[in-house]
Amino acid sequence: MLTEPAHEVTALLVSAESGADVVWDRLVPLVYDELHVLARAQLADEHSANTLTTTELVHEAYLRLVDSSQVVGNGRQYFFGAAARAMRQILVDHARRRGRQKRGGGTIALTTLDEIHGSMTGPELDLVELDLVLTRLAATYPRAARVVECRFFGGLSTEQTAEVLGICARTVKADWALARAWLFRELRGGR
Amino acid sequence: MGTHGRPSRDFAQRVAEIFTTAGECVPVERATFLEHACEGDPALRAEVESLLKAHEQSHGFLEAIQSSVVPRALAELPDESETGCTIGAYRVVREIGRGGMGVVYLAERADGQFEQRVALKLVRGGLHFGPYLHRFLRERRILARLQHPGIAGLLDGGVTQDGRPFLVMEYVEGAPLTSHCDRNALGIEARLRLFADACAAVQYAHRHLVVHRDLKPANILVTADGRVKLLDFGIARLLEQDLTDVASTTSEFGFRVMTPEYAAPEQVSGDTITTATDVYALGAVLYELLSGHRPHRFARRTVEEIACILRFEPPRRPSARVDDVDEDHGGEHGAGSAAERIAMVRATTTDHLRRRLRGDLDAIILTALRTEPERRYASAQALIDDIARYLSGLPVSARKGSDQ
Repeated sequence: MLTEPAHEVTALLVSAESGADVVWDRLVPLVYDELHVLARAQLADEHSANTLTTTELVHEAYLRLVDSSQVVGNGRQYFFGAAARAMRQILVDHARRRGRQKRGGGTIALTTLDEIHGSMTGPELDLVELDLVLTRLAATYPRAARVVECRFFGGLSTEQTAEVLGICARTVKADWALARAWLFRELRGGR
Repeated sequence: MGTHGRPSRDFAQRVAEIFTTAGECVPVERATFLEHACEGDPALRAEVESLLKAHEQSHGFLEAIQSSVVPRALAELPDESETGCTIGAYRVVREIGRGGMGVVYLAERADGQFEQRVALKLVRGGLHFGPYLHRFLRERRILARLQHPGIAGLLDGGVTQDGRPFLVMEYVEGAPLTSHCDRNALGIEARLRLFADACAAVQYAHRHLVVHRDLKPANILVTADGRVKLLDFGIARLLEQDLTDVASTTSEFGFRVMTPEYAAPEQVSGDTITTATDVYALGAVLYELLSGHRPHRFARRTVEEIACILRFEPPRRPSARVDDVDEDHGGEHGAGSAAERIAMVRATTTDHLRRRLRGDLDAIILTALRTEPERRYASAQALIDDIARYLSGLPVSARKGSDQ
C-alpha cells in the first residue's frame, strides 16, 4: 500500500514518460519532503555514528516513493535528477538557517579543506556560497552544473549521473573536471 | 568574449572542448595543441589557460567539501526545528501539518500585542520565488478581503528573511466535515444543513471572484460548537504562482494543487477553472457525505487514468452505492457490515438509506457532478436552493427536464 505522496510521485513519473515537463516543479517538492523527513527521522532515532549518506537517503526515498512496477524507462532517471535537486535545496536551506543563527559568528568553516590541502588558504566557504556559484556556473555550462548537482548533492555515481542526464560516463567526467576547475577559480580566487 | 558580461554559449562550448582535450594531452604536447586550437583568439586562450591552471590545483577540491561538509550538514538536520523561531510578527508554537506545499505551524503573535493563535503556512524553501513576489502579494490582498463567518480568514503573509513566502490564517480547531458527521452519527437532514452552510461560504467567495480549487472534506472543518469553516480559500492558486512560469500555458494546469477524488474533469485535463469547478467538488463531497463512498476510485492515479475515467465513466447513482464495498471501508469485514456501518453512522439502516437517496438526492448530487461545467448547477447558490427545496418537501430543479 503506497502512501499518498508515493502515489503522486509514481503518477508524476509515469506521466513524465509521456513527455509532460511540468512534473519537475511538482516532483522536486515532494521528494524534498520525503528526503527531509527521512534525514531528520533516522538521525533523531538513534544517535549512533551511522548517519546515512546522501546516496543512501536518495535510494531510500526511491524505495518509499516509487512503485517500480509502474515506473519503467525514463521515469527512474527523472526521479534521481529531482532527488539531487531536492537534496541540494535541503542542504543549502539548512546551511542558510545555520548561517543566520550564527550571524556575527561567521559561517560554517570548511576546515578539512585546509587539512587536506595544506597549501590552500583563503576565506571560509559554505554551502550557501557554493550554491550561488553553482547557479552562476549553470548560466555558462548548464550541463556541467547538473553534473555537480547529481554527484555532489545527490551522491550519484558517474554512471548514474550519465543515465540521469542522458550522456556518456566520459562526458560526465569531463564536465566534472571543468566544473571543478571553474568553481575552484571562483571560490578560491585563483586567477 | 567581451570583458563585460557573460561569455556567449558558443565561446563557452569552445572553451569546454579545448579544456577537455588539453587535459588529455601529455604535457609536452599541450602548448602546441593550445597554440593551434586557440589560434588568433587570445581571449579564448586566456580563459582555457586560466581554467587549466585552476584544474591543476583543484584535484579533490569538491570531493573534500563533499566528504566533510555534507555529512556534517546531514547530521545537524534532526536538531533543527522552527519551534520557538519567529516568522514575521509570529512565534512558532509547534508543527500541526505537513503537505506537498510546505509546513503548517500553530503560531502566536510574537509582540504579545494581543492574544491570537494562528495557523502559519510556510511554503517550502528553495523555490525561486522572487519573480512572483509581486503577484503573490497582490493576490494575498484580494484573499484578505474575504470576510465571512464560514471562511477561515487570511490574516497576514509575507516573505521570510531567507526568501520563503508564508501565509497567516485564522486557526480553526475542528474536524473534517465527513468525520464530524460520522462521529456524531448525524442523519441525512443534519448533514444536508451543514453542507448547505459550506455552500453558502463558497457562494460568498464566488461573489468576490475567488475560486477555492481544492474543496474536500479536509478543507471543510466543523468546530466543536457545530459551525462550518472552510480552510485555504484561494490558497491553491496563490501558491501555484511560485511554482509556475506565469508566461507559460501550463500555469493553468490544475494537477499540481488538487485532490484527484474531488477534482473536476476540466481541472484534471488542464482546462479553464471556474466557479463550476468548485460546484463539482461540492458535489463530490456531498456524494461521500451522504453515501459513504467517493464518486470514483482511481487505481493508478495517473493524470491519464483520472482524466479518462472522469470523462467517460459518469459516477453511479449514490443510492446504488449503498451496498458497495470498497477499500476505504475495510472490505475484510464483509459487504454486510461495511454497508451497515455506513448506514448506522447516518442514524439509519441500509434499506432506509437507499430509499432516502434514491430520486431527489441522487439527482441533486449527479447534477453537481456533471462532466460539462455548463450543465452543472449554475452556482453554489443554485445547489443550496435545491437542497432547501428538498428539505421543505418541494420538487427539486435537478429532476425537471431530466431523463433520469
